[in-house]
Amino acid sequence: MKQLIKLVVVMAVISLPMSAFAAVSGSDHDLTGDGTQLCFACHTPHNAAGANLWGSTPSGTFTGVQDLCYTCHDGSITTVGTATAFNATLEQHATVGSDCSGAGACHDVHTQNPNNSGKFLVVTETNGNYCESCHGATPFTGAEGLGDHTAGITHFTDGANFTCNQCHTPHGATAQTTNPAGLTNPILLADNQPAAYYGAFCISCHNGTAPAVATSGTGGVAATDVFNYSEAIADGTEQMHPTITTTGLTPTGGCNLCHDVHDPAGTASGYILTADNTNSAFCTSCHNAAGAPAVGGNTHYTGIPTDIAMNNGLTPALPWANQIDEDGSAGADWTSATANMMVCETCHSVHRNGNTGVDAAYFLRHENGLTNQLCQACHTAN
Amino acid sequence: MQNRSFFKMGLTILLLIVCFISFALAAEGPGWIGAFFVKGKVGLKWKAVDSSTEYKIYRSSEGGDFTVLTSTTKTQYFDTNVSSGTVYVYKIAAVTGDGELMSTEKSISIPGAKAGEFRPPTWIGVRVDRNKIFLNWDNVDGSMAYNIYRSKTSGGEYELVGSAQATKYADKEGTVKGETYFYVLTALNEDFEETPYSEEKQIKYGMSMDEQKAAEIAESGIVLEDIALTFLFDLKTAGNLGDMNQPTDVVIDSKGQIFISDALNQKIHCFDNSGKFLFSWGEKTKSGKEDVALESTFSYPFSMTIDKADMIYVGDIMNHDIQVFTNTGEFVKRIRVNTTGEQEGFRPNGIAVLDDGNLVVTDAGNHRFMKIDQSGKILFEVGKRGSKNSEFIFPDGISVSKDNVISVIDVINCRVQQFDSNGKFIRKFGEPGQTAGTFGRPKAIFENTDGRLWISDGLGNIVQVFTPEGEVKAAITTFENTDNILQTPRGMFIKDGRFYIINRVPHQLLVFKIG
Repeated sequence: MKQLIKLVVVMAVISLPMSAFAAVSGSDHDLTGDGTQLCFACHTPHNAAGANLWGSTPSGTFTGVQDLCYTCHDGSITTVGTATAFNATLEQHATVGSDCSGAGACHDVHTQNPNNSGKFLVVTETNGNYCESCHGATPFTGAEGLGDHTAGITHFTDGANFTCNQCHTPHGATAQTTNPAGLTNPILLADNQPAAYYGAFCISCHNGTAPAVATSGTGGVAATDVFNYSEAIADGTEQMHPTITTTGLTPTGGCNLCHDVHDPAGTASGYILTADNTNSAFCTSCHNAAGAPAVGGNTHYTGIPTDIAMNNGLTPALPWANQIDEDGSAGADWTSATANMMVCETCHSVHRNGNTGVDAAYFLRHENGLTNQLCQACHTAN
Repeated sequence: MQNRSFFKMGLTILLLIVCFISFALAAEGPGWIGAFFVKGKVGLKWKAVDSSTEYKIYRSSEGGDFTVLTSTTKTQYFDTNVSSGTVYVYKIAAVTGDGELMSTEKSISIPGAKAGEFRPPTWIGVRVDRNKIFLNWDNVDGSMAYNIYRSKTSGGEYELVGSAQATKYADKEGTVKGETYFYVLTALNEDFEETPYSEEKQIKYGMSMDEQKAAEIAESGIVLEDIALTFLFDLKTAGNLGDMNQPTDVVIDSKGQIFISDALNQKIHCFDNSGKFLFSWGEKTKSGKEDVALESTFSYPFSMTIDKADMIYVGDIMNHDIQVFTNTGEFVKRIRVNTTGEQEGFRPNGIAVLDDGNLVVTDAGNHRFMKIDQSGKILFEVGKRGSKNSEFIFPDGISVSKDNVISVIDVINCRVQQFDSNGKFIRKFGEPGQTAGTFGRPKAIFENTDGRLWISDGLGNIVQVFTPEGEVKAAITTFENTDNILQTPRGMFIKDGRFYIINRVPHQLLVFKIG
């Protein structure tokens, strides 16, 4: 048995470099092209001055082996990746450990085609991307803080057509100007906060036009779509729920204050809120008279009014908690909401669904105007 | 009856054969059971010879004559008087009444170094990398292990910091960045005898790669000239267009104007000789396909050269063409080189203009260089993928001397090949390595007016200067009056006593005064 174990160990030790040798041969990293001197393009067997038997340790702005890769992927040997992965001014996927190739990393420079990608990728393709190997149902260790990637494609209601690559790119992403969400490496296709508010990239789709940078997909969110969350449409003055830092009132951030595109924790709706909003619980988690403006004890009654008929059959309709239906999918948004209960959303629609009038600043569900039309929708009965 | 006679005859013959073999064996002396070296002595064991009264042990040392070591009545002996690194030959004689019956010979090599030859290790190198100090030395015969000693002062009190069985050690424990350490080594043999200290080797923990490279070159024994370079300025920004992104090449016109190919911004920038931005041209090609590339659009402007009439040639390795411009940025023409369907698209990594107006260009993807006319017609081509003379593995920069000697960088073969004006191979120089005259990733080549060849290396982050025949004369790794360091250097130009070099990853052009 000892002999057998020895044999297995010896074979394993031998097979490691041999397998790398065999995998490189004939691949795009077979620089000699004829199978001779296969390793010497990158390695030197004796007196190597650099790590990993490299002739030298290259210096540069890239990480680990990528600096060595750049000595070829700078256009001199190949143009592959010159404008993306080896574009030093763009944002790249964080490396796993210290390198982009090797144990635990996405690439193995010695193996070109383990999954037919041709890109020396060793991660598995799932749902049209290579992300979910790490960012799948089980968060990858070290990536837990990167947006709770617990369900990579839950952002979009039509998950079959939506992949990570429509918002992210592992190489050549636009560097984020500022990052209130605390993500160090969002690798988005476009800056999510190039100007005033965080969420510009979100709104590049949710603006009623085709996405500015997405190269495929549905063509964006139509102007009439309930997911059209543009901050300024129509007359350019209306506002929806504030996402911009304003003096002392709203915390810094943007869409991310309420939404997490990857983790609709606690919500069964398409809102992808960071917490459940049944009976406006999520609204009042901020509007508790301390952290948000003018909502607290001395505010309009919420609850089940004694005269529930007051809000029945009115035009325009002011929905009870269990009647709110704005998430784009059929049926009530909050299925366990209380029947006949007046909640924040009875009067407000944070993204101004339905109202384009002068009261948009309060993101009222319907125009109130000088005659308090919205108030009277209920209160005329009394 | 007849069968019985045959049986008796056979048995008799068999007995005779057995007796003959026994006699023959006995006549050859004792048969060996074993001879081995263990625990510092040689053990010998043999089969008994019935008629012997004693056994003599003969020994020969290093091919000399056999002498009797001793005699014994036993059938085994341990020779304790052996020396490291010596080959002994033994034979055993069985002493009988008829004389000595000699065994066959057994040769035993005593491991280790010969007496007086157990020496300290010889250094191969010391280098700082990834926050560790890596020590390498040669193998010492007879060594079982090596001790590594460290001191903060030269010749000072050394502290044992570790031991290794291999000929390398990575030191980190207790080191402080910025400190200079002095190392010595010893070798230990099986008896734990330790050699004296090796030569001392010093390194500054935190020494830059360039400093290390310079130190290695200094140790290579090649006497290099000192090229005095005074930093004048660097260029990183093209006016309102913003920072450059991985520029690749530089040329200087007759007015001293500086032209830089800004590869990832798809532009050519022009500066005056003081570094003031003047103008740019070039837009990104909408499609990477060459057949839709418009005038003055680029995908990856990679190489440049300039002729005596200040016409600027820009090679685009993704649009697979060369565009020609005036030094005011006006488009003149596009040069395309046809490739066959089996070939990769033309990739002009290097361009040089000949006196007759024709061009020599490398074609990296097709492992060749060509002489072409101004229409792109191939006048001759040299090369295919390979490592023999006139073969290339990704040729890159190219230059032409006053004598029309064409020098071609052969990147993966880590060499320069030189050809006459008809493409006939003349010579080659360079090989893979980290010392002066060798290459890691040679990139661009520029021939100065004195005929010397300046070659940038993107792996070693070094520029080496060679004679026209390929003898290394100088190596540039660091600069004295600037904090700028070479990082993936590429295109170079020398004019009017100035040295210009592209530093790709820092996205800059460095400008120096020579002398």
